[in-house]
Amino acid sequence: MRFLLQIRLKLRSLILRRQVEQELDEELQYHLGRQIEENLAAGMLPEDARFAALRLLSNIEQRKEECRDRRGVAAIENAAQDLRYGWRQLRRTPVFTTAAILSLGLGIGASVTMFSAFRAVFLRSLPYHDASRIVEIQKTAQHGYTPSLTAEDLQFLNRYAHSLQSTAAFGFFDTMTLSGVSEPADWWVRDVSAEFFPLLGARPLLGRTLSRSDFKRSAPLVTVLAYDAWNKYFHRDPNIVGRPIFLNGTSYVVVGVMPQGFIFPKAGTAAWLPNLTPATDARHTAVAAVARLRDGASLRQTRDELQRLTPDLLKYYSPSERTWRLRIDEIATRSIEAYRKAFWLLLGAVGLLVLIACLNVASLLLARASVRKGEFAMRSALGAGRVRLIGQVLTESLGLAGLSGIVGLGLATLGNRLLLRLLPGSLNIPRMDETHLDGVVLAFAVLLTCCVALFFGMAPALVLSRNQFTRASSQRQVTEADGWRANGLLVGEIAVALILLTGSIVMLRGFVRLANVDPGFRTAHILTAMVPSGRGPRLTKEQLKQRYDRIVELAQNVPGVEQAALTSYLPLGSVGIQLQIYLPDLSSATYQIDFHAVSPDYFQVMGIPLLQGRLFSRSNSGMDKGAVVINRTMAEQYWPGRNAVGQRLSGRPAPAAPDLTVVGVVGDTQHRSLGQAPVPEFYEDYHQYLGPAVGATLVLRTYADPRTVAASLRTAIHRFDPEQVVEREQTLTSMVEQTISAPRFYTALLMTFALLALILTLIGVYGVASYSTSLRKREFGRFAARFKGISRH
Amino acid sequence: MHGWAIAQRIHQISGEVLQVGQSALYPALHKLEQNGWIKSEWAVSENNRRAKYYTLTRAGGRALEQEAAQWERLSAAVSLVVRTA
Repeated sequence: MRFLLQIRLKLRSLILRRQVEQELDEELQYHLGRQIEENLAAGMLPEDARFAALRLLSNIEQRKEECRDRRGVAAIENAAQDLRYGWRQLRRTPVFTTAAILSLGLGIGASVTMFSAFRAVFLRSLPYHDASRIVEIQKTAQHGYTPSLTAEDLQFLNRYAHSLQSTAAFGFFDTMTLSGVSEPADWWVRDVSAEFFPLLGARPLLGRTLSRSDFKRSAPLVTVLAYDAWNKYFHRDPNIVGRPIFLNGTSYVVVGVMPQGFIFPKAGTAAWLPNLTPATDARHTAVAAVARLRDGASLRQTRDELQRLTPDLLKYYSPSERTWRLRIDEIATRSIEAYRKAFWLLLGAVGLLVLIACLNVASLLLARASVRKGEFAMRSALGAGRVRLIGQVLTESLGLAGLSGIVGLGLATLGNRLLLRLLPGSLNIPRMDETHLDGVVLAFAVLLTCCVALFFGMAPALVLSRNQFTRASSQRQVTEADGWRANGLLVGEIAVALILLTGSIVMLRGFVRLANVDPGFRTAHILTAMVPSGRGPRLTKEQLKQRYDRIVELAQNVPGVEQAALTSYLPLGSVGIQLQIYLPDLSSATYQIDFHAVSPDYFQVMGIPLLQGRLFSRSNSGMDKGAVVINRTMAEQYWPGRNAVGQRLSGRPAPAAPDLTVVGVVGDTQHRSLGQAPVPEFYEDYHQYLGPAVGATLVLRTYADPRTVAASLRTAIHRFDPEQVVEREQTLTSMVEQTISAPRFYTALLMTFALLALILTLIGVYGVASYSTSLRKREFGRFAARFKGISRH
Repeated sequence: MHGWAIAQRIHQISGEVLQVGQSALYPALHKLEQNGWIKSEWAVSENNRRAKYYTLTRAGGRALEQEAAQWERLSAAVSLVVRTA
């Protein structure tokens, strides 16, 4: 209550300053009036009465000043005065002011831009209930691959892992064909267990999530849509709930739509379906799993407990598999882990940029400070204390920083827009598109501005506040010490700029190296398109084979196509398949090896060289049952110094007879990502493996620009079957470009920051040099005069 | 009570011994007001002029009690010292 009253009084004296002053006058005047009356009544002459009263009320002006001090707002009033004064100072030196505000504004703008992106990606909470307690469970093996978790593993964990409150299983990546819309599309879907949605605790945007009853075998088929799919294929139709959609030719009723940002387990997921497959063989049913930690259980405790449980869990596995481990990761960090390093690097870079801007302005201010020494000495002589003087300089700095902060925020708004536009589409950073300036970002900007003001204002404040009346008044020139200080700051600034520049050049070199990596296959004149089978019209293996033979043939006959082939998934794409392989001749161990199902012409179309043995026979595919082509790395890794052709391997564990034979060795390709060491890979004839799980992608070598062929390819295939999905047509060149677009983006950003740093440094050097030159005019004049004098003699 | 009256009252009550420097009164009053111990309002005075009247607030009353008690202890102590000296 009393506190509020005080605040009100303070505000009043700040805002109604004039009125308060007037009241003070009136109050004292009243006192004076009464005293005069009293004196008159005592019989004094009017003149004497007045003087006596005034004498009694001695030192009125000083008392008034005391009253003002009692209001307790002197500091604020002083600050306001200093700000006004600082503003006049800034207006008097427009070039200096522009340089300072621009360089600080650039620094602040760049860092606010990066911070707002950082906040959107790393600091905003996920749309799950208490997301920090949700973890993903995986198995890991020594050779860097991930054996899948089984339904049985999950049952075990449910029973024995006490730090897990609940677990939920979801299926692996699966595609289904959406039909009944203008053009059939290939959807990424996930089947999920009944615990999935309750565990994540996400609220649907429309309708509901899956309920227990949806998992009954007799229940009607239902699905929950992702926001992006709802947006893209149904144009945000608010009445979608309750309507059927067709996936693989089967009708599913939409029961709900999830909000934007709910992208579990991965961006691109279009729909979630209840998993209706009865778990008859839990030991061999592979699942992916999430779990929620029990309240009070930390991540570390959970890890320890799982580690303790692992030997029991692996009791039922073969000896070679007992080296497996369980691993849990917070889902909150999982999807963004890959970008963390890049973000810290860029944040560090803008930090350096701000530092440079600060040093810049500090050296400019310091140069200016040498001229203002006289002024400050005068103030000091008139009774201003050191604290007051430091306060004045810092207030001026704060004003300058404030203006720069406003400029910086403006630049950051532009910067955000620019950042999102330049962000390559393939760089799918979760939530990056939600970058904007919000309260937290603004608070960051204000804090940054204050720190910056304090930082660059401190040096001039200390220099100016030193009481140097005699020296300053006697010599109004730049002293040596001032020169040293400004130079020191400049040297520091140039050093920091060089660090940034060097760093960005190192990164640029890395990028150039990456861009020049030989992928192991040709990229020019190749068009690719996905032609997934869907699970729609259930086809037999024979029918599928005929269907794909026909599709390849159709593609082959499209005008402009030189040669066509089929593969499961493309190199450098986001999807790949690994198969479990046993090498009976070598050990009982299992190996998880990258696998591709390809048509015989694939190697030729892609320009992958045959090094040894033969490729798949084109004439009679049945003959090549069990034939395997491996890459060079696989041959060298498993059969070093031996001829790999003719070696046996197996898709089933030991007692079963090996069913696969290596018939050829081909060159390595960079299948996973550019710039990585090649990994073992093996190929089989696609006839053995056709089906929805493997995927199907056409690769066409064309005579002309491959993009011109895309339309006629689609027409040709749709003439054959209008329901056949043809999508993601792109050239291999653009795919390779996409894979390096992320490093390109980071490198470009870093280069931009380095360039800005260079520009700032130039401004700083120029500013200080021109300033000190202008101050030394007298000295130069003397030199010139002397020189003239000498030359005249 | 307004400022002048306060000054007069101090003068009277102290048996005309204390003559508070009249002008020193105002900074003190303003300080008390800032502390929330007294509050002020403008009103018409006994000689029909506008004057600023101060009244004690409840917080002010409490503070006064405390200060008075403190003063009494102090002055008692001082007089004790003076007497025994």
